[in-house]
Amino acid sequence: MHAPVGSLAMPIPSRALAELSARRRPVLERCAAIAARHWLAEGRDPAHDTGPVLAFVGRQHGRMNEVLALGTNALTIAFEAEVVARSRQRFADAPDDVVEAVFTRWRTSRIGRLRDYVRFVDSLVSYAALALDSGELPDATADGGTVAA
Amino acid sequence: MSDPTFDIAVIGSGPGGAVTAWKAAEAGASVIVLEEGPDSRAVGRPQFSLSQLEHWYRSGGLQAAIGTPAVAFAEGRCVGGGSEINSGLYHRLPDEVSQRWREQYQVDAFDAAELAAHAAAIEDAVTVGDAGAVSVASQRLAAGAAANGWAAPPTARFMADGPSGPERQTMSRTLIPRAVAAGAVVRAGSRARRVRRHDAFWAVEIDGAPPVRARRVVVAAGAVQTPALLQRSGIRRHVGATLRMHPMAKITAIFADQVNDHGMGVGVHQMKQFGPSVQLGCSISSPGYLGMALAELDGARQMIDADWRRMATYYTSNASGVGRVRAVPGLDDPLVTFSVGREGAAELLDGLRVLGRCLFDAGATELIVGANGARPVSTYDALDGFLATRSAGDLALMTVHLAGTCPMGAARVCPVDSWGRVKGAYGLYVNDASMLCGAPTVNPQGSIMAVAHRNVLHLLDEM
Repeated sequence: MHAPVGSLAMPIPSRALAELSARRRPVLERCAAIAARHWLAEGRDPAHDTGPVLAFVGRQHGRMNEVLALGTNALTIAFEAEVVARSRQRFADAPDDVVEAVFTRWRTSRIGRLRDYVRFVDSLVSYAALALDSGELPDATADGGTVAA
Repeated sequence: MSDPTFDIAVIGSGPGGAVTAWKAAEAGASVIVLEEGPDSRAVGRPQFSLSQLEHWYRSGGLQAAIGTPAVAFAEGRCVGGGSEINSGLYHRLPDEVSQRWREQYQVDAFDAAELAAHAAAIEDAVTVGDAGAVSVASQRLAAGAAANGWAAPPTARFMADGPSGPERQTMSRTLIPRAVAAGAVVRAGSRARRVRRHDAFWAVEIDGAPPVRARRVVVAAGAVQTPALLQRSGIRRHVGATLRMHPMAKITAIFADQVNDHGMGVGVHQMKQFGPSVQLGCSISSPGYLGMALAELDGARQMIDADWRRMATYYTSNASGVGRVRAVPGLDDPLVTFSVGREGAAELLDGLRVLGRCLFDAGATELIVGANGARPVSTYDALDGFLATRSAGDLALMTVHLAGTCPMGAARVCPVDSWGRVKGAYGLYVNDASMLCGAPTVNPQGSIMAVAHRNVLHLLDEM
């Protein structure tokens, strides 16, 4: 995204898309948490050590190209709907084993777009887990100096 | 007090924009450079790092051209643009490519001798030299090529001696400071949404800021953003209709001994004898990038933890296919589509075979292709068998080389003329990878800068 969510500088559809992405983020992060179990180093606790990886996934989801965000959000909604249908509960209340079963099914689906969604999550998680473990630091420092003359 | 009207507003500070600003400012023009991204001079970020990905890549690096297969692509979005995030590999535009462009697109005064003079000016200004630290992984490719009687010479880079050894030269280290010293204003964090012609000047509309007025506007926002900006400005004829790129397919190799380390150095050896546009080389292979390359492989984490120092990723690329860039009403980002084409896909699969042969001959014990269903293979026959079952749609393609969305020339299909002037829009120019007539078949930064140098001198002659 090119301006903070809700910024008046953003066209209205861009703003709506940014807000949709923000609402879908918990679903994506739950998928990322499943993927992260395969990408944590030995000895790490999935319950406690995935925070920086999930934070990276969330930030990247928030800044991804808008056209890709449209597709990703559509697939996230489809993923959420399948979990709700199978668990007969709200997504937030759905048991982990149901969420994981749907994620695993998508990984080997004959439908390329479903596989692409899992590949997208896997790529972000694998990159972040290894980069962070090899000593790279997420850096929230903004680049400064808007005018130089 | 009224807002100043600049002689030239340059949209984008990558290689094309930096050359434009440098030459125009030193010629005495009042110049403002509008860069959408942050000021890369303010905070140092390690090359190819997670931090750089988050801050200096457009959309955090998450972009793709839609197609079968989709092609992931990366663009710089900071002061210095793509020069800040690439390896700085340098080639001149091959003579056969410039000749083809001159004939096919009717580009005036585009002969090899003239282009060589502009290339020499860039080499002198930015400094082109030896490759610097060369990775062991890159040397393995050269060894594998030699074992087959092929050549993989090292490529020159934008490099200069620094206090602690050779340093990669980027626009923020070289031409941007020279432009600023000559009086140019560089405004980071300024996204140009569109340009509008008024009586005697152009107004560049900026998100969240007053418009910038200039007598001439040079759009140098890259091969995706430049056509999108022109389309948003109502200039659509042939704009964005011919996206070209170097799609890249990859293999990760595991060797018997160490080839990788933190700060492994750059892959500079390239093989180019398998076709006019086919190129093979060594890619970024940090643990994070290895993880991304092997994301679909069961047990990849354990493999990388145990063996990453014995692993490296290699690529084959070509210049096949064509795509489009279309601005989408209401969205900031354009829709990018691309088709690699049947012949292009076959060429990439053949390139992977050549790459595999070289890597096995260089001591690789296992190879993993970047494709659906890939598993480690330990013989060339197994690799060949695997590739025989793959099609274009199975390949995981990516690129960092995009061009050709506003090709220059007198031909009807060219939205800009032989000097980068937008046809039918007096005082509006394109001077970046967009105006190249195709993918240059080599790392494009040198070609972009030489042609930008040629075009900005012509612009200054007009003033």
